Amino acid sequence: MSAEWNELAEYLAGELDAAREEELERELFEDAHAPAVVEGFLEVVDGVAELRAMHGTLSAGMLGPELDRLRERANVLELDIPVGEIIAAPLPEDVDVCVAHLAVDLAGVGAVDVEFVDAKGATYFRSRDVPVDRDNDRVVVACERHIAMIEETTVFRLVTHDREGRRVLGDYGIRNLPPPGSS
Amino acid sequence: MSVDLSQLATDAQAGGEMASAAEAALCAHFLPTLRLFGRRHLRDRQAAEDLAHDTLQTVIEALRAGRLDDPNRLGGFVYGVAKNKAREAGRAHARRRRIADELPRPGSYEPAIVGFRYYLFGCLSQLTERARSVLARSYFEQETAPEIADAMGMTTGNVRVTRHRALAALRRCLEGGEP
Repeated sequence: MSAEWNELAEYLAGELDAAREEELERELFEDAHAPAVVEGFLEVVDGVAELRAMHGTLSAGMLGPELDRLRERANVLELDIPVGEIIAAPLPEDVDVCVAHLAVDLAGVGAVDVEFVDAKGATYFRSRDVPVDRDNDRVVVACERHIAMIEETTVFRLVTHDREGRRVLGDYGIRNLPPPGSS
Repeated sequence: MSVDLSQLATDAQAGGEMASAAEAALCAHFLPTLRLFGRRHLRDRQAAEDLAHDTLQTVIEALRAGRLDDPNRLGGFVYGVAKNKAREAGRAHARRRRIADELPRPGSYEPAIVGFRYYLFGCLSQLTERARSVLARSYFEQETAPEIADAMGMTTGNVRVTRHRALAALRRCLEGGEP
């Protein structure tokens, strides 16, 4: 089958001319291999939509309107973390998402990546080019509770890449305390 | 594994136990394509799902009645039924429906979908913010390329190229390569 994801995307968006659209539709129905390609494409398209709907963002970072939407949909615990500090906080079971407000000097800084770092300093997740709040010099990072609970201390490392290479803007930590009343 | 559509049609019209298995295989085979077709023409996920199931029901009934003369034409037959169903739906204008209300809260994933969704999130995290925005506007907001271009200060062509590259990067990442 000649159609690949790009053409399926154009088809779904109604961007193909009428002749090619009909030709593609015939291929999709008559080619025995087509459903596998279509299924993979729809799984990703639907996954993007559902992740965006659930989290308000498609990265670990978010801006104000996305945070507002997340607050409407989930039980959110918000923490302000100055650069270089570790905040001790319980993460109760009724909290769905932990939102960390990371203060950072963004003057002259281009794209910012967020790295989740373990106790040994190894990065176990990286979110590239996250949205940043330049007006307030902060990066807002959302982390689902069960992800935050992976490590005893969750460390977010803000990193940028410029002419000098990779540059760490700051580390910020949340030390997960047992919820009140737990053993 | 390749499906022999003409054999499916022959078995489905034969009756008996073989027909039941063929009908199930036929439905599984055509469902993704019918969903895509329905979403293209009806612009609504639930309407597309309804069209897919209505089409399959009509096709199965036709096969049971022996109305498909040439088993080699099964694909074309299903396509024809789907087009008629889409016309019957009579939706002349694009409609958009937000999916947010249908979804569970963050953190409350069902186990069956957790793995893929997290893996997809990991792959999305490797894209640029511009690419993610184009994808979110395309598939969550259901905006057209011109609408996205206008909102993001891009050209329509640039939106399509960005979308194309983002989907290609996701596909590479999901297949185990670098995005």
